[in-house]
Amino acid sequence: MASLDQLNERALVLPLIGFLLLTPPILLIFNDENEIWGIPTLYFYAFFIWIFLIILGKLLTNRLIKSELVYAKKTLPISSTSEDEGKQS
Amino acid sequence: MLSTSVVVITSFGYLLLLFMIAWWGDKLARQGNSLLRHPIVYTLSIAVYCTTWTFYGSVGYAARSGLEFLTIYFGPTIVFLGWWLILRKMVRITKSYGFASIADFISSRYGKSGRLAVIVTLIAVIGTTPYIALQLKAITTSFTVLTGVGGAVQGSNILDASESVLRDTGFWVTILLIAFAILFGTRHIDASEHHEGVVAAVAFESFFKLFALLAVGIFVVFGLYNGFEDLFNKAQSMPDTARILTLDSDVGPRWLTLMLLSMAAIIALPRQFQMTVVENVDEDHLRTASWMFPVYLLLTNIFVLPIALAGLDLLPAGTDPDFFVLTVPLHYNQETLALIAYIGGLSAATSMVIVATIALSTMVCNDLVIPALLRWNWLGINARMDLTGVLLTTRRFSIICVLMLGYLYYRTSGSGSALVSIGLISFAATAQFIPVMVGGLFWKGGNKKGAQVGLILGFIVWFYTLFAPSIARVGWLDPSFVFTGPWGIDWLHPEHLFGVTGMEPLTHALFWSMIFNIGGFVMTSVFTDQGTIERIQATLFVNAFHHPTDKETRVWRGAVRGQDLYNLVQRFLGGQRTYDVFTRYQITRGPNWQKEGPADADTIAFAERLLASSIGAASARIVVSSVVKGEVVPFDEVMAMLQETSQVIEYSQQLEQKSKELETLTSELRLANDQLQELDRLKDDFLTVVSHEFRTPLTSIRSFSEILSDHKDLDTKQANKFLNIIMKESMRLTRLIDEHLDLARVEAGHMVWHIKDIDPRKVIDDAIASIDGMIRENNTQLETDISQVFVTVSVDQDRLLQVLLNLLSNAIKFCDKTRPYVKVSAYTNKDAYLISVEDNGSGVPEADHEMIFDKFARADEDTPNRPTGSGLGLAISKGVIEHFNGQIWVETKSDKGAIFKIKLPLTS
Repeated sequence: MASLDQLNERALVLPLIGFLLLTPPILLIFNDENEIWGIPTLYFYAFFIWIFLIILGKLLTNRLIKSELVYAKKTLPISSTSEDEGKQS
Repeated sequence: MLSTSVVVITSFGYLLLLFMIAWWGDKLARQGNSLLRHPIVYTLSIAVYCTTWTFYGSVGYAARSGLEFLTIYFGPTIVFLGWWLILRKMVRITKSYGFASIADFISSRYGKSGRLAVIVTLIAVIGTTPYIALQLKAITTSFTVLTGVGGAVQGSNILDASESVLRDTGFWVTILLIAFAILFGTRHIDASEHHEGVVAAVAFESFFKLFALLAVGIFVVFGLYNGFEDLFNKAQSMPDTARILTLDSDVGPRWLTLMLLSMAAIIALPRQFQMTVVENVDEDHLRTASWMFPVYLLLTNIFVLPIALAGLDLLPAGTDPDFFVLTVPLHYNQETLALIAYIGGLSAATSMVIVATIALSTMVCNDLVIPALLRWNWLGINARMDLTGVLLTTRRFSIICVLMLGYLYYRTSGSGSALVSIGLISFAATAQFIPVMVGGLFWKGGNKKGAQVGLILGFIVWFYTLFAPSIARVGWLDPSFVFTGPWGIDWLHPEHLFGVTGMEPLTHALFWSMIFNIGGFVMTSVFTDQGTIERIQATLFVNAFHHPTDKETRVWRGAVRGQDLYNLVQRFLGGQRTYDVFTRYQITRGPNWQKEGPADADTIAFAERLLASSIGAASARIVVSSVVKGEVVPFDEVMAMLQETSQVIEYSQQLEQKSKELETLTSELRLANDQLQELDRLKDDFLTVVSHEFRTPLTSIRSFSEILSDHKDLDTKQANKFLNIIMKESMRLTRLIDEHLDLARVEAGHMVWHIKDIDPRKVIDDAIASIDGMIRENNTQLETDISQVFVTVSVDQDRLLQVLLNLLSNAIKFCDKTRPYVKVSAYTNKDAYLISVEDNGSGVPEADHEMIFDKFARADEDTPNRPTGSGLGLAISKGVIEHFNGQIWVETKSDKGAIFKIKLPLTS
């Protein structure tokens, strides 16, 4: 299982990827007059990526919560203040 | 067309339903029922984002610019995908400190600055008013479209300035919404308390508008066409509709601008902040909303393009695409569907207006009115008057003002811009909050002055480049200002600032306002100092996830009694509620606050937070500081305290380390001491052995000398025998002393070595030859097995001979007395020369394998058949062999006896 740090990084990367995929110039790659299953390419692409991102987001969120719970349990016996000192530096 | 009465009755009926839902929601909350505290309700309440701008405007937008409308929903999707980074932090902070509005949030971050709260409030009100007006306009227009009263289906320009206010649908809707907002928005004095009733109503409206839009969409796609494929095929075949299926290739900058604007909007729109952050009852709900809200947006948008295509395809040319959602069903006489769509639009409009009004009125009340009243001391802070009534009245009055302002704007601006452009102007105003909000969440260095400068500059540029042109076009300003710039000054042209052309007005406005906003914020922050509270607050915000949330934020110095604080809070929150919260406080923190004498910092901070939830952070600070006779502890002192603590921690860590070091040192010393004692014991043994060894020959020499001396008459033969013994013993003494000297030399490194490359076989032969006499004397059977391969080793020949002689004599001495047997073998093994000497004696116990190479190892008195010799031979041998970089050791033979082995490196 990925560490909380790793998941934090993924939580940052996912919106960046989403932004990249949903803006030109990448978006304009699919800007043509063809159709996929009777649906214009661009329309199809936009909604496909949209759904794809939502699914990824949901998966990541589930793992983030789980991982944070594990982390919280692990750090519970240590007094939270002394732990903070270390993290902030 | 529907009859006016049907539409009016339905509208009022729907609004009545909303009142009932809100009332029911409040009732449930009062009873402690958590039915509405559900992530789905929360998600639907966030969907207040989708206003009439979405409901009607998206279709119009799609009809004009194709898929560009999606940017407005992609932005929020991306922000919610990244909820873990920004939204979660905002919610965590807001819940920790009980903020009631975005003005509280921003002003708190920058040292609870009252002035900053005023700036934020003003920008929010100015930016949101057109948006509220837009909703009112959409309601009246849709009403007109549906009933046909007041204008044709074609234009949305139906407002006649001369029309009586009382005949204006918008007016009555405004009045109803004011009533709603007052009834359900000001139920609590405590503004950060959740408005469960409002949330319930808004969630229901979000559900209904999605339902309505999907209903129209399904009717269009599957009723008017045979599914998506049919619809798109038709669309492709006509140039008018095929045009909007693809994007212009130069859409890039505009697309990016819209994405960024919508991302800013979902974070910083006052109504979004209200719903996502302030009304959040459980941080965990955000997790569900992070994917469910994007799903809502996706569903909302799936049919937008199809409806737009159908409208363009089927309706007469010139129909306003902004109301296709209504006109398409109407055109096909689907009156019920049209009515549902109309109610959906009404939902979208009313939910936005209600939430925005509550959010704005809270800010106006807490950040404009109350601070002013406090400043001029109209509230008589030091009197003992109940202020809850004043507060409620102020808030209600704020609601009326905000909504009336929206209505006024709607009445005067008339029509003109399409729904979309008004919405975008509003978004761009909201975007001005982003640098100070997001910057403040991650950058401790951002300070109050920087935030003020950034916000003001950004707002001015927004006003000048976007808002002013829009109202100039309506006719409020001299329109020439838009075309030539003020007084004809070219570089001040509002849409081509500094002569920069090539950007659309929106992109242009966002670009310049952000340059000035971010630039002003960052530069001023970098070049000015931060105050005490600012620095504390900055740390609390940036490190929101590191701090235990219940840690109090403020260090007050000064004296105020707990009872005084109680009275103060009571005046703003009312008796019952104050009693409740202080009772709860007492349960968790103990009854300390009631004690005589000054209240502790914890209690003061608690009181401040309570007040902040009611009148805003900035005002609360003023109120508390008016009774706490003292000031905030200066930052230097806080730092000094912190430093002291950290020094103590450091010292204790150092002590711990020292004691650890001492422990290791002690154990090392103990070990050394043990070794010394062992050595001491060895030395004692050594002396015992040496004296014993030396005494034996000396005793015999002395006694025989005495005999010779005393008995001069001894016969020659006898005397010779005695003299022989004396000589032999003397030689033994000499040998002993020589060996001691040798060992001492070897150990001290004073031995003189004559190292040469020699053939070891010759030395072995010499050794065997030398010991020949001893072999014969003991009848020992000697076997040799010496490899004939020629090799050389680098040794001192004489010393190696000495070692071999020692091993051989030992072997002869210790071998079996009845069948003495000794074997010498020598061979090459890899890059080493191995010589072994074995006997068939009693062998060496495993435990002694190491020990026998020590000096006087034989000192063990228990050894049977104590052989003669100094006991130094093996020690010397070991020293010698090790000097040759070789090894010497002993093994026990499997049957009987010992094998001594020497390993010498071959000369390379």
